[in-house]
Amino acid sequence: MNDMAIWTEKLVKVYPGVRAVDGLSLNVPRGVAYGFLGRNGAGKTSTIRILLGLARPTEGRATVLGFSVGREQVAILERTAFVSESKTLYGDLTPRELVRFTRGFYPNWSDQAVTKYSRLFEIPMDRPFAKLSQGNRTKVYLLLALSQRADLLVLDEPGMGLDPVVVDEFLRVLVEDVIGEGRTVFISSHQLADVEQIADWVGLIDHGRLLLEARLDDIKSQFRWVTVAGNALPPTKSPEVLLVASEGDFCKYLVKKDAEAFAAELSGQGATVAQVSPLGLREIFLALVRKEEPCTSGNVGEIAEAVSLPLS
Amino acid sequence: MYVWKCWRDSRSRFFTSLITLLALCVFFSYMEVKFAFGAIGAGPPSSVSQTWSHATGFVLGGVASLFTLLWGLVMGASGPGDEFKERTADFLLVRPRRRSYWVWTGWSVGVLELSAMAFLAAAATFGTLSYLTGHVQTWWPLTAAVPLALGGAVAYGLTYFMTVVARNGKQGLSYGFGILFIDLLLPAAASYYPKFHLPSVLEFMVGACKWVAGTSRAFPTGSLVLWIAVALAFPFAAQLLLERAEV
Repeated sequence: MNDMAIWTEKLVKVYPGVRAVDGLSLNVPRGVAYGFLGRNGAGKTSTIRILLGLARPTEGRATVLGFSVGREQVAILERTAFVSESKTLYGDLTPRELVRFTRGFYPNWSDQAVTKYSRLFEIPMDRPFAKLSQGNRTKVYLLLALSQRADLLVLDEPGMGLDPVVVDEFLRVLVEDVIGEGRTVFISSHQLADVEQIADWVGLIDHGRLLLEARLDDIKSQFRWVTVAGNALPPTKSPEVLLVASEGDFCKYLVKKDAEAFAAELSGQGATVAQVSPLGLREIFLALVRKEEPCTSGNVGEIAEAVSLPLS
Repeated sequence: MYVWKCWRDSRSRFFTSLITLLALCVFFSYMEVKFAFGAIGAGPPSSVSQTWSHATGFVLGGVASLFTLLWGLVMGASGPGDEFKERTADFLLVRPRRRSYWVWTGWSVGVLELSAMAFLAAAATFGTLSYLTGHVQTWWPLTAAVPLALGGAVAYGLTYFMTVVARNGKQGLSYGFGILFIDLLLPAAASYYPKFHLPSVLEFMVGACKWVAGTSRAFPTGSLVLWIAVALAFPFAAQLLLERAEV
């Protein structure tokens, strides 16, 4: 039995003409908030659909909470709550009826949670779902997911249509009531600031491939931009250098650790190191997924092997 | 849970169709007894027995059979295939149940409703005939509920399956209508060739109701087995398809 909340090995999903997921290997520890980030069409939703049994992988293996995806799907679904990207529910049912419909499927269902979150999110419980605003629809979805008291919450764009106040309350609920109780949150979102607020781990995916999987604290403490004047002499294919890109007369290196030593090495080779600066989640996201103008030498525009830092 | 939702989704259609069917059965039974019997050219009833027999054959074997068949098609359009069209499939299919559960639960609710309709239609015909003729000639008309329900289940299962194929309730319904239309026309066309006999579900329903009415000696046992198999084959095929469906 796998100890990870989510584990995938060389997962591939091919749709006609599209390789949506391309050899994805994820390691999501239990009891953490994991931000699953990527651009539109990066393969996030396809991955989530595979994990929940809504799509079959073309290749590769995956487990969720130790249960094999595909073979033990019901066991996975009993322990997993999902907020889908579409946020579409039965239009003629009211939130109260949706609660009634959903509660019977889950042994850990909490009516107290329904009361608590419906008040907290100010959900009109007796208005048909079709007549709710986009924000209220999202809230209903969140209410149903939170009330399952599932071991794993899979959230695909959970903040869609929510105002900042509700987003803030929701993030607080995730931290206090879900992660605080040792349960796992797997959140796919474009709202990087929100993810950065709660995530312990992040996985960054582009074109179906994992670019980076690391603890957020490690990223903040170790990842650095090393800015060098002129056409420097970068060490090619260094495992410490994730990306090399040019910016005007400068060359920037995204270094995953030992940035100072790397800068010293460049200086030793005659380069002028202008700056060694830390970077946030947004910057690293943009740096890794955006098409940068490459430098004239070195591992131009390439991204090194996906980084996976040790769990401890 | 899902049974409740299926019932909630279909109950207004169920009650509408039930009331319509019962009204049709009472009306045509009344017409048969009071006026229509002579008008259709069979001559005046020589006995109450003939009245019962003819009325049972016409009302249950004709009117109710056709109505149940068509309404079975319509009711099947709300099957799990429509969840794809409504974009609720990714909500429903991540509830912790095997996909076969959704297919067979939804199908069972529909077939129970059709069975209730069939039984009440037979009971309404029986009750009207008893009331108008003053006594119970025979209890047999009540057994006409079986072929009515079975024929309805076949039509229901056909649309139910087609909604999964088309991933769309209305489209599934149109496919179901098309196939049923062919099932009515083709056997009729093939009847010009005595060596060919193509089975038709309406023919089975009419034949079984005539047997119940006593106007036909042979009970269509072979057809009964065939249509039971067909009625079960549709949800089974829908299950196989849904189990392999990606959302």
